[in-house]
Amino acid sequence: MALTYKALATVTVGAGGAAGITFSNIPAGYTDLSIFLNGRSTYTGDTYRFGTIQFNDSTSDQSSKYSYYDGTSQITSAGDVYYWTPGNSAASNIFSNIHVYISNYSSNATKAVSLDTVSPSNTTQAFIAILAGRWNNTAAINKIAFFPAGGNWVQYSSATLFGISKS
Amino acid sequence: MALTYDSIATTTLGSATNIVEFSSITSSFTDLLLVIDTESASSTGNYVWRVNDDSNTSYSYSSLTGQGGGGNSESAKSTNTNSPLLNYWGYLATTRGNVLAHFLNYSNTTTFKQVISRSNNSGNGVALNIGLWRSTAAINKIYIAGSTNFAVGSVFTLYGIKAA
Repeated sequence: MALTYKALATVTVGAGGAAGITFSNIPAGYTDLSIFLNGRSTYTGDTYRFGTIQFNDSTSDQSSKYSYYDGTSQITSAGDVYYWTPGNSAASNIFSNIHVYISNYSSNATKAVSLDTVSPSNTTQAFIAILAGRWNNTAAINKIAFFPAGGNWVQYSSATLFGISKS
Repeated sequence: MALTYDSIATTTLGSATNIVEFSSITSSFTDLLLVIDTESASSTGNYVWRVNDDSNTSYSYSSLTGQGGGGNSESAKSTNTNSPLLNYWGYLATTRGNVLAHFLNYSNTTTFKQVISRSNNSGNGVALNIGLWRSTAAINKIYIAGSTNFAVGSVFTLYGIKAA
């Protein structure tokens, strides 16, 4: 019996880190995609740093509205489809948990994205964000890549891509 | 073997309409997940949810929101309403958005029913919503009503999630 919710691929970053976490050749046979990513970047600036997502090798045609709290201030703004990870100056062993849900990813409509980022901490620098995103492109999504801005993914960062079937 | 996560019913609109219903929902799961992928067929609208044909003031909700780009972050609530919001910022024409709504422990007959939803519209805003239906009845019907028609091609899917 075909599974409604199926793990399609898992990427785990090895020693030496990685510039990106990429899912390629995504099959078109599902309805929605769900990605769970647990990650940290090598960025040496802010405690938390945004990252970018490429759909089909493109960062164009993206829009979002988001709100986050970084332990000090609540920020609401707009931009591309972002997520946030702790950088090198964050407390040790702290990774972000990121959930990305892309509905109707293989349709000929533009693509809606729901994205949540949480990064708990025992300090005041915990981080939480919710984002409403869109890839304003009617092509089916067949590749998704995550790149932390200004750094690389550290070892043990990992992500799993799930396909969800509506029937 | 019963699936842990299974599609119960799905509707892809072949014509624009403002009402979508899921009836005769099986009680054999633990939680429900309603996924909506849509845009408006005409102009900005909003949609509400009801269960079991209860149109009384049996609902309440709270929302944390962000409108971005100079807009506001808000917290909002409403009590004793018959129109609980599922998507705080609504839906726009030509801007695809989605809603992920979890109906927790929907088939129990002991507690009031809660729905946690994330609603996303990059043209309007993002929201985290919690809704409450003040009834201990098991949910067997979910009704979604938009103030404008949902566009052709909108997809509404109800998934069941089963505890161990």
